[in-house]
Parts: sequence; C-alpha cells; structure tokens
Amino acid sequence: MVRPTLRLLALLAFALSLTAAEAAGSGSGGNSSSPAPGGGANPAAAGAPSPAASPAANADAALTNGKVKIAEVNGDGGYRLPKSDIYADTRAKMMKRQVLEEYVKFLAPLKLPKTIWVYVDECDGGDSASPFYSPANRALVMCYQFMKMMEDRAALIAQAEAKNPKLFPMKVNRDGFLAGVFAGVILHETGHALFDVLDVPIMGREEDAADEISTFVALQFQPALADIVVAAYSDVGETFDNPPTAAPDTKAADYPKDKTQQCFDDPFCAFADVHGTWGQRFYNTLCLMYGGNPTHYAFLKTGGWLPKDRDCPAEYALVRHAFAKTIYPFIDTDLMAKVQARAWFRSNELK
Amino acid sequence: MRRATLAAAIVGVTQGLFLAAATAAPQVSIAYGDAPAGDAALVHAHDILVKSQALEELNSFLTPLKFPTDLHIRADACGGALRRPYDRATKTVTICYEMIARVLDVAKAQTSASDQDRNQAILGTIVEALFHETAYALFDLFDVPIWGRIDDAADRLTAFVMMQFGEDNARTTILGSALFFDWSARTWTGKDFASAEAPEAQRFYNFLCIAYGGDPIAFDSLKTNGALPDYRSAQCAKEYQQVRKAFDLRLMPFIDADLLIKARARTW
Repeated sequence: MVRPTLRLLALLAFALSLTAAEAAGSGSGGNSSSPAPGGGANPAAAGAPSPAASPAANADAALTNGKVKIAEVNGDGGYRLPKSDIYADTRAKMMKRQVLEEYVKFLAPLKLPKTIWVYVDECDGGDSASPFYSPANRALVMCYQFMKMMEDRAALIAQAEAKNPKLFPMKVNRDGFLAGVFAGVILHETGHALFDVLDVPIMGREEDAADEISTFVALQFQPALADIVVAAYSDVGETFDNPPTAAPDTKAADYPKDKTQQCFDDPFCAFADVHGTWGQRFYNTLCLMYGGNPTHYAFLKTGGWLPKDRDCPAEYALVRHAFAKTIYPFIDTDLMAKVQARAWFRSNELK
Repeated sequence: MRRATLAAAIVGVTQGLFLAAATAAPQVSIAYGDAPAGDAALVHAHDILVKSQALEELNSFLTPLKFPTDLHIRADACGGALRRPYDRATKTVTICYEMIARVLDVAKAQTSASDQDRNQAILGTIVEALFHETAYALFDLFDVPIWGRIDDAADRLTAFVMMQFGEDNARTTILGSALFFDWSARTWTGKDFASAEAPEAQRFYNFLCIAYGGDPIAFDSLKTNGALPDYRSAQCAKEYQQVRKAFDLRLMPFIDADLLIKARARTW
C-alpha cells in the first residue's frame, strides 16, 4: 500500500484544474463565494461565472475540440462498465457530474496536431490502480478505483483535520476535495498527453513537469478554482507517506514478496520512483502557487508553509517561460478566455 | 546629397559597430579565486582544481558552444556554502571549494571502499559539480524551456553529456557520481522535502537511469546486479531519449557540429 500511495499522491498532487472539468458539470452555475482564507484577492472573480449561467450556456456551444474525443464503447459514453459492483456508485456519480464531457470542453482551446482519447475504466492493477496516459493508444484513462479511494480518503482527512486544524494549509469540503483531486489528476495526465503529442522537450523529470502543468493551468483561473485544487492535494499529502526512514524487517510475516514492493519499503530504493515523494510534490505545488500569486497566497509564506531558501516567484517564472515557449502556441486565446471565464465548480464544491 | 552622405556615414558606423561586435566574439573566462589561507581543506580543494586544470578542461569542453554573450566560470570560496547559485545578471558560474572539500571528505570517510572507488567518486563528482553548475548557465544563455525541476534538469543534462564521450568516461563520471550520492545519502523527512534539490538517493537513480537508458550494453550490470530496480530500468530508455530530444531541440542549434565531433574524439 505504501507505494501505490505514493503514486496516488502524485496524481493528487497534480490535481488542479480538471476539477474544472468536474466543476463545470451541469452548468448549474453556482459559485458560492470564495472560501479561501486570504481570499481577499478577488473573491468575486472566484465565484464569478455564477451569475453568468445563461450566457455561459451560449458560450458552451463554442467549447468543443475535435481532437479530444471521449472513447465510447457500445454507447457507454466513455464510462466503461466496471467488472466489480463496488465501483457502480462511483461510475454513476462521475456520469452525473459529466466529468468527461466537462473535460472535453475544458480542453477546447487546445489546437492539437493529433487526436487524444479519454475514458474512465476499472483499470488493471487492483484497488490501487492510478489514472494514466498511454502514448501507445494516445489515451488518457481515469480509473474508478482511484476516485473510490479518494472518497474513502476524504473521511480520513476530515478526521485528521478535526484533530488538528493546523494540519493543512487550506480548507476544502468533501465535494470540493473530490472535485479538486479529479481536476488535478486529470490535468497532470493531460500534461503527459501534451508532452507526447506536442513533442515538448522535457529537460527535468517528466512527472514533476506534469505536476507543473497541472498547477500552472489551475493558477490561470480565478483563485477559488486554484484554491480547491491546492487544498485538495495538500490534504492528501498529509494522509500519504514519504519513503520509509528505517530498513524493513525482511523476516516479518508481512514483508512483501514482490520485488517492486520490496523496493518501495526500502529507505533508499524507495527513491527510485519516477515520481517525486509526496513531500516534494506538496512543496513544489505550494511554491508555484505562491510564486504565481504572492498576494492571494501570502498566507502560505506567513504561515511558514514555504521553504525559506527557495525563490518561488522565480520558479513560477521558469514554468511560465516553458509554457509560453512550448504549449501556448497551440492555444486558441479567444477560446482560452471563454474557458477561464466559465464556472467549472459547483456551489457545493466551493463552499 | 548631404542626406546621402549622412546615410552612408550611418551605414558605415553601423557596419563598424557590427564588425567590432563580430570580432569581439563572446568568450568563456575562467578564474580561480583564493582560498582562505587559514582553511586547509579549502586550500587543498583549490590546489586540486588548479593542478588538475579543471576549469581549463571545462573551458575546452565548452568550445563547440556558440555563446551569445560572455560567460564567467569561477572556482571560489563560498563562505561555507556548498553551492553558489548561477548569477544571471553577471553570467557567472561558481564552483565552490567547499563542495570539492566535501567530496574529498565523503570519499575519505569510506574507509572500507577501494582506492579505485574512492578516486572514481572524487573525479566523477568533481566533473558532475562542474557540469551541473554550468548547466544553469546554458539554460539561461540559450533560453532553454525547463519543464521539471531545474536542479533535476541540470542533473539530467549532466548525465546525458557524460554519456557522449565513450563508455570509459561514462563509467568513471556516472558511476563515480552515483557512489558519492550513495555515500553522502542522509535521511530525509518532513520539511526536508521542501528543498529545491533532490535527495541523494533520487539523484543516484536519476544518473544511473540515464546511463542504463543510453547504453544498456555497457551498463548492463546496473540491471543485473539490482542497482536499478526493474520497474525503473524499464523506463530508462525513454528517459534517456527524452533528454536527448530536449538537447537536440534546444541546445544542438547552438553547437558547432564539427567541433563537437573533435571534442568527442579527444581524450579527456
């Protein structure tokens, strides 16, 4: 469990904006007001689109992308029938929230040279299977297992927060957490897809780069949206582990037989993962958030959440530069403005 | 007529300036700062770099690059810090004597290691430190987009470059760096992970993965002896190709291909 955890975290960590997709949902529009502490920057904008519900409906017509397709099989709308009944409820919720439909709308501004596909499935790998992007199929696959696991996590997080309110830098409710996690993760996977189809040069580690995409994209939206994403994954961070610090008891009855699992349990080998540790991803995200909006996220600095010896605005500038050079040329800016103005989250998620 | 003369004069001046600029091609300058006389370890580090002509070698190594502006590379005492960040304003790369002293210390403490391993760790890590710090300058001067944390990007570029000069050089520098990361690894917890630098163990695997991915024949033992777990080694070819692509797209346009071949053919 240790390892899957790490991977999950990673996913979570990324989780920023897809929520947008989630959020967009049925266009019900509600945005309640800005929930964030320190949300003084632009509370109105945070919830902004809400009043614009009907104009938004018109604007939605423009939000299509012929190169981002929901991979349907037998009319399942891209929501595969799970093999196990335990995911039926998760599937129903995702369908109701129209997460895939929202995702396609969210990506409307992207001018992709090649088609990518997206769907939700009960993935291989058991109950800890994580979402992934497959370059071989150019498909982004979200896994029911992952969202179910996050539903379970939400309860643990609530308990931990009740015990120690200072455990997390930001608060988010259960619905917001789930929306934020979904958004962050699908944006992270979208990063992998973009690196692939846009042939983006990646000088650093790709998993961190995908995290940067997720966080950077979220930060281009009203603070309320970005807030949900960062809050969601900081919460997750507190519930997942960094690599172990002590050598495992290799004679213990529960010592894993699987070599990969053994590696995850080893204090040195655990660092072989292509993902950063949860702690790294957590601080990377907070650093970019602060670097991108030092006013709105001033509390991260005053609250001691940021590393003192790190120049977060410079780090944000680096990501912005990379985005401008390698991704921005593939974006339709008129459509981007529409996407930025839309209310992607629902009122129950923003509370 | 007067106007024509003026125009001609302007053209002349402009050409003159252009020629002046062209003749004063950007250069790489190197310098060894003084080590504090009272600090034997730093004096020793200074002496090692000077005697091995480390910066001169690095300078030769950079010859194929067509720099847009001057670049300054200094070895210096850094007031106790192991690293001094690249200075974008003055285009200055600094190699700290403290870092060299630390490498020597770490190697010296490995009393059960063979002399060969210790020497490999020292040599490999000094090269690693020189390349790593210089990578920041290349990213800046050639306006390279950086996806993924910049310190890891500097590591990946370093490891990739280490792979371009034959398997013997690659073994010395990459395995030497990996030994150092292994020997210097400390336990990371909590807020340690806030660092912009990667944990030693992570760097260990990043270097070995580029090596195995770039040359699975020469570095076959990394897989067979278990240094790289299977789940990571399976990704290494992709990782290597990814850095290669980034290098080809973003740095190769600034490299004189013929000089690069000469550099690769030279004995280092």
